[in-house]
Amino acid sequence: MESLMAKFYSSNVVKLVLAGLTTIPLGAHAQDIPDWLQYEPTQTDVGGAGLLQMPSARHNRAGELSVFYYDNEEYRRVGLSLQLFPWLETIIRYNDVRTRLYNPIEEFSGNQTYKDRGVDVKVRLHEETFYWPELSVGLRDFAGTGQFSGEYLVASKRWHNFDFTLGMGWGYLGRSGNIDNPFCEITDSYCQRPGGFQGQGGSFEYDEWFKGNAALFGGVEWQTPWEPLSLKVEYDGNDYSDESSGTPIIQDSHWNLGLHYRLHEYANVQLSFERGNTLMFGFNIRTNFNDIKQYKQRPPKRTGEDLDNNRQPQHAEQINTAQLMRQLRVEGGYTSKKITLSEDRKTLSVYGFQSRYRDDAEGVDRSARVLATQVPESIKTYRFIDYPYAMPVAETHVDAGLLKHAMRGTLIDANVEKAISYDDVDLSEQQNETVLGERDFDIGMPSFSVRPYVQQSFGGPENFYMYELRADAYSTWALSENIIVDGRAALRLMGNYDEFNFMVTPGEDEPPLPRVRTFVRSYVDFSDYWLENLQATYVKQLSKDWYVSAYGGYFERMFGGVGSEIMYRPYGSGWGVGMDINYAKQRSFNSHFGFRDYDTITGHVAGYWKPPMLQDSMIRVFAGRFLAKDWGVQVNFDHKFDSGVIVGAYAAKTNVSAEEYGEGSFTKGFYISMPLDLFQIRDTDARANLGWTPLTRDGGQMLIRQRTLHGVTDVRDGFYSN
Amino acid sequence: MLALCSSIACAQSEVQARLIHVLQAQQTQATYDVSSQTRLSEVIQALTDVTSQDWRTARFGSRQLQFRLQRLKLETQQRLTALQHYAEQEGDEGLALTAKQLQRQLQNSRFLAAYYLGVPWHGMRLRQANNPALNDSYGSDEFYLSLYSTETSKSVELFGALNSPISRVLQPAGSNNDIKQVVAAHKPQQAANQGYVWQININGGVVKQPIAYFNQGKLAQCYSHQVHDPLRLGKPTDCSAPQQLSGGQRLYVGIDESQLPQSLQGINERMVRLLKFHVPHEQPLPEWSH
Repeated sequence: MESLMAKFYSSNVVKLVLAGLTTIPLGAHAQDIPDWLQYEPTQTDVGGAGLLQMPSARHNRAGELSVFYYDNEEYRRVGLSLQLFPWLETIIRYNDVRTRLYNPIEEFSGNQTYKDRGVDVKVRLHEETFYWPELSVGLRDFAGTGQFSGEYLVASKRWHNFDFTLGMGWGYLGRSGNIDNPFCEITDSYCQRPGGFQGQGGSFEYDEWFKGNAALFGGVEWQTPWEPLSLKVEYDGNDYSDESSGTPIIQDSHWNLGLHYRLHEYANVQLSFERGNTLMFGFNIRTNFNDIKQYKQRPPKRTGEDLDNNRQPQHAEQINTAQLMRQLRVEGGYTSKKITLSEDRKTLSVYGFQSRYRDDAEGVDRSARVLATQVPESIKTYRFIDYPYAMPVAETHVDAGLLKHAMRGTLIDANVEKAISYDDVDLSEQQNETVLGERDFDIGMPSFSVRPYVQQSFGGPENFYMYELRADAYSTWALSENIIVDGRAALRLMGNYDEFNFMVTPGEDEPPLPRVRTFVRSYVDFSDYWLENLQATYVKQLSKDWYVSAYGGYFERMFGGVGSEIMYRPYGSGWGVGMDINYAKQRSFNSHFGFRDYDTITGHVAGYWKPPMLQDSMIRVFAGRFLAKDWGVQVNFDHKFDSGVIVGAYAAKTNVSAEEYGEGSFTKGFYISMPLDLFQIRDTDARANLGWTPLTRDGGQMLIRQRTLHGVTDVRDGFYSN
Repeated sequence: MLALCSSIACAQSEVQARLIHVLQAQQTQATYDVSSQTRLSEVIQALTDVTSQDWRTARFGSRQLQFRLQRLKLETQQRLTALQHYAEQEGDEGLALTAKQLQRQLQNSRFLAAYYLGVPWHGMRLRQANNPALNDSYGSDEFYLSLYSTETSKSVELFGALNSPISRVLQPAGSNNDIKQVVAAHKPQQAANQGYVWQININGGVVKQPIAYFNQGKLAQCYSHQVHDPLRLGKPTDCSAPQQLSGGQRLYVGIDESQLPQSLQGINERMVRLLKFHVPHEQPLPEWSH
């Protein structure tokens, strides 16, 4: 025991953590931690709600995110666990096998140790009731190399401060085989578990699921009277005699014992004694994507008193439209193009778009209050026409009478929300309108801005973390209302992408697929500054549901060309379809503006759907020809949380075999889109994206281009803009 | 009848007449004519001694809103009848008994719909929007303002699937008035959802509290009262709520709906929407409220 403790304290991780503990007050006071959090599920050593090595049936609150790190002699585990829906937990994890090199060829991956990527899911089958336990089914490491893959069915029942768990595991969770596999009783094909993995790993090894040895596991977590501290005891169903680490892992006992301590509302630590001989330490940091909020510094909203004190014009022609447009922009974040009056003089329409408030309702509320105090009483309806690229794509109606009742309190049951309604655009109403004021299009000068940009990827063979810190200069220039030129120049400040090893001299050792994405290092080596994109886009509305665009230029760092897109998107229907076709030519990595010989026709038929059974979610499907001339389908799934954070995942499967594709078998990845207004007190509708792509290979790769029609027409279904 | 218009100098010819019923603690009622432009604060200032009121127990509502509440009550009774028939067909005696009991509770209870449950006197004078005129979008021509005493605030009332749903006098302040113990003492019925209790606060806020041995300590679900749409329950948010009861609250132990067909679900929310407006028997009501 003494030597174990010595080993434990000598590890770098422990030094780091102990150093950290000296700055975090160890005696966390229970009152620092909300009461409800004491009863929330805690994380396992491998991420996700559960005991130590074994999962429980518990699920966190929707939106709960934990970034975790666990460490012992053989493995280090880092990853994140996200409760996507109340019934679905997802985990992305890296297992660092400390005893193995990533690749035996030192030139390829240096002394980097082997990293095994894993993805887990857990689905709740039954929520706990008075008599029945919570019941969940889960898959661990289900799309990887299978080295840690396992399946389980588990039940949890709480009794006051004790939370009991009993489950059955297969694969990595059931290797001790302490019970007969019940499925084996039904059919012989479940008695043996096929070994290995398909292709180059990264596939769904569904033919292995619930097969082979099975084991019972279980345990209890006790919320002690010393409230931030809970105690865990579990019976481990695993048998560690044949581990990925390649080193003997001795299991003196199946019983594991652990302590979980909440240091703070947002930080937890866990210390455990496992297998009768091993100390394990870990910590995790948590937040909840539904709860994140930020104080906002906003101009005051206009009130009933402003209505009474402002002298409104008698006639619409007396409105100072220039001043009104300015007030709409300052107070409502609404950029106006023109203001019109209907033939019956009872409807005032403002054409423009929301350019500040991410919450569209907030912007409309403020803008409508401005109109109420600035336009004649005789006007009964305000219309805000979303008018990007001079295309009316949607409109918002405001009942001026009801709005004023709400502002003045002259109807007790009137509120601003009731006065506002959203609708499809009515093109016929435009025909007989009188223009009261219009901002003439001015070609002007391009806009410029410079922003820092970080490109990163995790888990590559060359280096676990590859990154590039850049200063990017952005420019947008409107040549007409519906022809926009977007440009972006990049300056690398630091990074390690030059370690990327997938560099093959063309003609030599020709890979099975055209090199459309794996010339990364060649691009990096060429220059520290480059033109990232320079694209002109023309957008046109054919009818209120049909949109078309044509574009050309340098689409992205690796491809340029020309293309066109068409889209059908009925208002508020929750779905749309589109198609794009592009001629794409590969950009040179030997000159700033030249091209290589490789070119292709690429394009996709696209479908967009907001499934009504999954609130705040969107599925996007693209079927067609990809950059490497492979044919297939890419599926994207996005879910938006209350804070506006969007989490998404994508996968592309094409007619390229797993062997041709290489490690990972097919293209897949995850991303998080964060509203920037969560990080500042001023409103903005801008977002920052953080991507996670396990490996960059050439199959299933799509062209990256600016101003897709799905984004241009988003307000017709309000997913990203709301 | 007092013509309030004269006291606040409104021009009788310009405005519609409104009747305002002021219900007092001493079982008295008075009715006044007022202008539709009159603000609630003006009525209050003209008719009462504002320094002696307990604004938390004051209520303000209209006749048309009361009609809508009565319709909600009728629909809820019909649903309970359907639930009772379903339970009898299924041979679920416990559920049938509870459905019958809830119907009886509705029949024996009095409800008075209100926009305000607790008048925000101190805030309403600061901004027009918080100080409504005597008007609603249903065209109500009669309003009421109740200014009861605070007698009810010493007890909680229990409803729903309990074996002994009655008023319960709270222990003195500082004693244990734990919500779980109060519910347990009144013995939830077989068909009750024993995991949660609905706690209705004096201000119309509703909390769905987890109280069972398996979920205590978890976050509750809070529904705030919506002045502009008072009969709706709205969208809940996760919240922490105190486990100790306080005077004037109502508790409702609902039916376990998890095994019911879709068409019969939602009874508990309907009951809570009604119970927000429950009025004790000793308090007066306008004639048109029945």
